[in-house]
Amino acid sequence: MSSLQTFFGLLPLLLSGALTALEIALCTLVLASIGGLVLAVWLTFSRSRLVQAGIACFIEWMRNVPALAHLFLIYFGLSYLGINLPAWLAAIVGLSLVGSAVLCDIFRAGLQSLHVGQYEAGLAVGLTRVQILANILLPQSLRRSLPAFANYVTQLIKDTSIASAIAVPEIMFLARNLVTSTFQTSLIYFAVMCIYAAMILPIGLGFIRLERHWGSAR
Amino acid sequence: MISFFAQYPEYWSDWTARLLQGGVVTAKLSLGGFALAALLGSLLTWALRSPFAWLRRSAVYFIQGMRALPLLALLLALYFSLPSLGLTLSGFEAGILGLGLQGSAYIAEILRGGLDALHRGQRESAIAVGLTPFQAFTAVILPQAIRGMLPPLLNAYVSILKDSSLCALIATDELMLAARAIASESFLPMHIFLLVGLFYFVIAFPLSLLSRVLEKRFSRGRKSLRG
Amino acid sequence: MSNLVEPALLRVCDLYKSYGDLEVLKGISLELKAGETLSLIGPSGSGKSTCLRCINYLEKPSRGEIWLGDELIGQARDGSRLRLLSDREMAPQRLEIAMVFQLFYLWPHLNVRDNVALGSIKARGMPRKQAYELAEAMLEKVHLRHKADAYPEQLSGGQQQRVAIARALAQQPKVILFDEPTSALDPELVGEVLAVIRELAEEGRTMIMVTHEVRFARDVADRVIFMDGGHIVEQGPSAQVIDTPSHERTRSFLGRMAMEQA
Repeated sequence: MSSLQTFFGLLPLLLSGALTALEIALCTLVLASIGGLVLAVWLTFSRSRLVQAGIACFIEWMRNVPALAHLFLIYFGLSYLGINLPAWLAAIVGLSLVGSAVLCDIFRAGLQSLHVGQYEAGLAVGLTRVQILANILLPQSLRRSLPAFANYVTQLIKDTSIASAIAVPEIMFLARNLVTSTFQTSLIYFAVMCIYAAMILPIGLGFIRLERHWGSAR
Repeated sequence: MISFFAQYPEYWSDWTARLLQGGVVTAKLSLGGFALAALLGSLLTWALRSPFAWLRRSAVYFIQGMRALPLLALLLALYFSLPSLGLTLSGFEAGILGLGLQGSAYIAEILRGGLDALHRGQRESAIAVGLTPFQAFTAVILPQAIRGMLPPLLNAYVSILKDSSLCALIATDELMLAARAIASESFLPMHIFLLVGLFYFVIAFPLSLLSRVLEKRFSRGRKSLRG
Repeated sequence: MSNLVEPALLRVCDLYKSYGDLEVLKGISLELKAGETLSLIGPSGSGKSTCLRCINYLEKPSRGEIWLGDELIGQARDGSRLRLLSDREMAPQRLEIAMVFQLFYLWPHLNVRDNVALGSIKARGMPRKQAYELAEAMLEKVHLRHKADAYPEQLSGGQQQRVAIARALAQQPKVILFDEPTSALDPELVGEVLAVIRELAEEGRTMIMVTHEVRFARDVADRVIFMDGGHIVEQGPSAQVIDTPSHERTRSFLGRMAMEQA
């Protein structure tokens, strides 16, 4: 069957796009996780109204404006100011900023779901705030945030497709080029969907197993 | 900094006029997509809770499938791929369809969660009093469930609103496309994209805020019921 | 205070605490000698828990000083001014003052042994092996050594509170504060916790108890302070104050308690 042959012919190119997408997702995940955690801890423990307002503004801007707009702002907008980021970097920066805002909300909810008494007991026993955070608050709150975090990760992999709009050579971009050159639209999009499913489903299952493992380790 | 903002007055009227035009299309897109998502989502929820296993399973597969797919891929497939199968959709139509299909999976989960959150006792007491299942649903279950579902439904709409920006990539004349056109004409990308971000923010932020206020009010209401 | 009398271990000097417009503590002063057990009793809202929580600075007093021995707790002299210490600066001071909470506040993700040992390992820098030995010794004291590997959710309320007491003991504190330790327990579990507290008192520990258990206070505490409306109304040897109160308010409070606990 020539369709099947074409399908397997397209695969290598699309898979290289998948690799790019995963690279972008991984970099973004690391940056967004660090950013989100720092913001969440800062937000929970800061008593300064300015800090709380500032972080809140950042989060609201990031979450109420489409990711595409953020990417355009960073890629096209910054070049106006003389800062020319390569497309893949603009994608990582943009998605990381949005991701920090999303993860800040998730981690903060996890922290605040803990009873303040555990924090007080930590103080009473002579622990410093950092020690309480590291030994008591974070181990529990990160476990609680796991489902929402898993959702974020799968959404992130899908959101890498937006980077195609600024010509990052990930799957979507390569797929569109293939379409215009070969006109095999249905086959190509079918391949694209298979590849995304192949990336997302195992990750989803991995998180479910992690949840189960952590749940039983107590 | 000031010179940056000084650029705006010259273009203000032209830009806002064009952005508003795009904004109208965005509104139609997002509301249409949300309506379709709500409709399909309700059907999916009904299927999820049906006694027929095959119906339940089909609904689950559909939802899993939709959630494993990037919206952009779906939109491109609907716009570029369907013509070869005989159906040509405009960017706008493909947009509503794509937003509606993906949104339906999201909304089905919200509806299912809201209905499941209600204690089974509510339905049992309604039946015990002599109501038919349908009456029990409309008079007892739904009114209570809706209060809890309102915040996430608002969030779902905001999500669809943001996602509608992707329709610019399938040649739909909405807000983001208008912004891109202006950007390439005026060579002031920073200005226009900030402005369009503000447009989205002004619509989305009040809705997000409302959603959070309602969520707090709802949980407070439940606590006070328990005394 | 004559110099021939033993100096006080813990001194609360002129403590005031307000939450906005609400003044909860209106000039509380008390002293605690080493080895003494003091009980704070009084109606809800009298400020007794707030007073206790001010001693280890879980609440920051609006005015007043807390002295442990000759060390000022929670504040430092900056020239002529007093400034509030940060939580990090206060951590070593808090090691000396242990607290047992009404709701226990054990850490659910750690087993019993780790709950008791965590403070020693992190706050005192004790090697793990030594900390575990100390933890098990303290658990032995509260008769729960066999539960060292269990998790808090597997224990009854009374057992959890006893673990909390072991955790407080592991700090090797100079003073132990008890904030209504049995108020959240089912009646049949109260006895096992009171038994442990009694043993500690007989050992000569320095303790302050906020409690509703008036009969227990009479039997175990050396002195009793009755608080009402943010003031100390009456204080003295426990048997004296509880059996023969001199103030009307003390009398009516004790009367109500007697009826409820009969």
